[in-house]
Amino acid sequence: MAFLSEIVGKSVVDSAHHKVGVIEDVCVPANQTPFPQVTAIKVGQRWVPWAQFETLEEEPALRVDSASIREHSLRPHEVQLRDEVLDHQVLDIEGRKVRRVNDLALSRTNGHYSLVGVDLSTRALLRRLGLGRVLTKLGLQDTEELIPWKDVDPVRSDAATGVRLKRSREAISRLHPSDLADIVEELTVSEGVNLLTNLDDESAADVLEEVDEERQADLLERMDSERAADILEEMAPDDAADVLAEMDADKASEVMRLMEADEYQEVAELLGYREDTAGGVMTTDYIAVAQDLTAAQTMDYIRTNGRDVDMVYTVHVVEDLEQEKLVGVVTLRELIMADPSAKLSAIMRGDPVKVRLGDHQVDVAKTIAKYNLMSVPVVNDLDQLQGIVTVDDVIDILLPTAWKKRLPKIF
Amino acid sequence: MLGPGLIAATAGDDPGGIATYSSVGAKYGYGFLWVMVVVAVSLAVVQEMSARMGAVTGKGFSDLVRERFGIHWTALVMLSLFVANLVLIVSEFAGMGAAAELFGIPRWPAIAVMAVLLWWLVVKGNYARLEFVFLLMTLVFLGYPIAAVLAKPDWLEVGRQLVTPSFQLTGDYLVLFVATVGTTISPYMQLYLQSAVAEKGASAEDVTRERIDAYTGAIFSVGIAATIIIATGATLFVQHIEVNSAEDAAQALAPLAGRFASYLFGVGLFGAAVLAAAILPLTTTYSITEAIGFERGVSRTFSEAPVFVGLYTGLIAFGALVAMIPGIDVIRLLIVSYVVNGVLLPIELVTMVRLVNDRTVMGKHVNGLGRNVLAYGTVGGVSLLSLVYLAITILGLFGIGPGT
Repeated sequence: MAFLSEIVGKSVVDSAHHKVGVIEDVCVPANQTPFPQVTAIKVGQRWVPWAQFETLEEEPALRVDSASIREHSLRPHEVQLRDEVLDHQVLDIEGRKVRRVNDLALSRTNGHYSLVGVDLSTRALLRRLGLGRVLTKLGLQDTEELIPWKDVDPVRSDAATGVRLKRSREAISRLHPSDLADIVEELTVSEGVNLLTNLDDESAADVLEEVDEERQADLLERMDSERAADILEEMAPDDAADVLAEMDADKASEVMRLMEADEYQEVAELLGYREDTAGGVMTTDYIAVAQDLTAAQTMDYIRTNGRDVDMVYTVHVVEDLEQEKLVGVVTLRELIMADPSAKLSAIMRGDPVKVRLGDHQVDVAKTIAKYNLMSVPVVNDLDQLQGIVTVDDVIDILLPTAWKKRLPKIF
Repeated sequence: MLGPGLIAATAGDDPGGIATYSSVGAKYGYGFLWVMVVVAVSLAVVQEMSARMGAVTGKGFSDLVRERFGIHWTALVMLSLFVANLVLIVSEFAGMGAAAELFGIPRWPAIAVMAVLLWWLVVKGNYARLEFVFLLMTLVFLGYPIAAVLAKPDWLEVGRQLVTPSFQLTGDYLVLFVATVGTTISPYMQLYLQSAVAEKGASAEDVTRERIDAYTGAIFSVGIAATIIIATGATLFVQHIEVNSAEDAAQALAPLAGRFASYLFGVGLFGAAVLAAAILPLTTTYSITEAIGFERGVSRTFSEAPVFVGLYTGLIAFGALVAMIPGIDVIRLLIVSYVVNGVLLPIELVTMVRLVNDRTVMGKHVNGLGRNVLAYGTVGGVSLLSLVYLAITILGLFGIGPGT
């Protein structure tokens, strides 16, 4: 096993033992899995193909003499390990975080060198500083933190080429949105935007919803407006409204104009409410059915229309779908247990717990907590259903300090 | 929201800064004013480069250093930043102690309490609200321009000294010279500024706006510094009072506040010290952990980011403990901390100028010719100053040359 840091800087001689230059860098094709093979090595200013090398470790030497060097021109899908990976950040897929590469491990098999993995340990840093022996003398363990190359993904801030994109997409899709959100928060805005290009609109929306609001706004502002609009359409309307309120006004208007009409309507409506009231916190994605439906019909309705609604656990029963005057609620559990032919008006809980548009968010939170609800309907002065506040939003309201128990990035 | 450039400007008003400028005025009258003019230009150039780097790359200084320079240079830069900031942290706590004494509170418990409080507030995430309070306290230093005017200095003399360079190759003079440069162009403020601009989500389009913010911050900072020198020059210098304690330095505010000068000064000193004592350890910890690649502590608890929280705690503990050592000459400590900064400044500046001229990093936003002239001029001047100072100090140890 050879480390990149040990190889770089070595002098290379040709077949006639004349010095050719010093090793500056090594390149591998980005998409070979699991372990890409070294294609060329940069000696001085020129890339020399691996085929013309005799040995690499100990005393690097070429198979040919300097005059016969066939210069290799770098292809777009080839990664320069020292310039682009060493000391740069990578996505540690297994560890679900952003790490910095302290060294790269290359292994020789069958006459080729392959990139085996990245070394993230501090030991690698100390070794590069020449302090490796200090650790050994202190009797500290040889903790190598070698992550296989296939389990990391280099962080990019510029638009990656199509070939590299494919590999990133696979790697990133393995991560949970909340983990990706943490990662996005650690990257710069451009790097974050680039990471999100690997995801489809819906997955990107899932990730964005978990990112803190300021960063959400920064990311959407930096994105192409079309793409921003597409992602916002996939987000829950209350989250979309929150981030639009946070964004630069001009960009926000531009993006809203590109949104589909009905999504636009929902978001525009929510933007009209004060932030810290039920109206400002609620979402307009809920299930409402007329009271003369049977349990079976309601289940069918949920199956057809529940695709975009996260909170299907509570069915809101209204007088009619026009006015949406709230008369009762039925939980999904009650619905499943009931006689399929029973009418909703019979099985529902009449005079349901509800809050008004103008109620303060903390009072809404207390209501949800008191009655052990998954969500609480929000009505206007005419008892017409306007939206629902879900329990996950309530957690954010009640525990803001816990959420901000992060060390401030800077103030 | 206050621009980071303006907040960065308040760094000049930390205890070390006040001690340095007061001493300068008390000892040399208006003799240093021309230095402030030169340093103002340098500071503006340096702050602008930091802000520009933050906006264009979206990354902090240590990220860029690690990615563009070899591991040895990175280690050197990080080490120098660490040492420079560590002595400053000590000076901030010493400043808190001095401020407490102005109110009759003993130094030792004041520092201990503040260290624990500060740690707890920042780690528990409640600092942001109090930051505003401490920022308000530093507004006391706006009293200096008023005091300067009320002290009725000879404005003609002031004007003359602003444009007439003078220099003494004595140990005392050099110490204050290096300290002045160090306290005005504090490396940690460039780190903070770049990170703050990057964190704001600024991009290449915002360069002009950030540039203006950086310039105004620099001019404001040096402006206040100049008025401190004028104020002390018109009061302490004239009365031949040297600044040996915070009490002495407070007297420069006498024209403004009469016998309440000490209290007024104490409030400002305290606020500035706490503000800096919160920013410094955090900036230092972020920079070091960024460069090494440790888990950052942004959204993690102690168990998930032990190195981060541990380093932060260690910095505060060290600072407080050293500041509590009985019998230290606080003013001298404050000045020395910025001498160290001044001496180490060239390392950071050279790195910064290399980075800001690197097309891979900055794209088309590299330095133009004019900026490069000023930048390299600054680097050259500061480096020369460092070398001269070190040479004289070392020779002084052997008893050769002008004493220290």
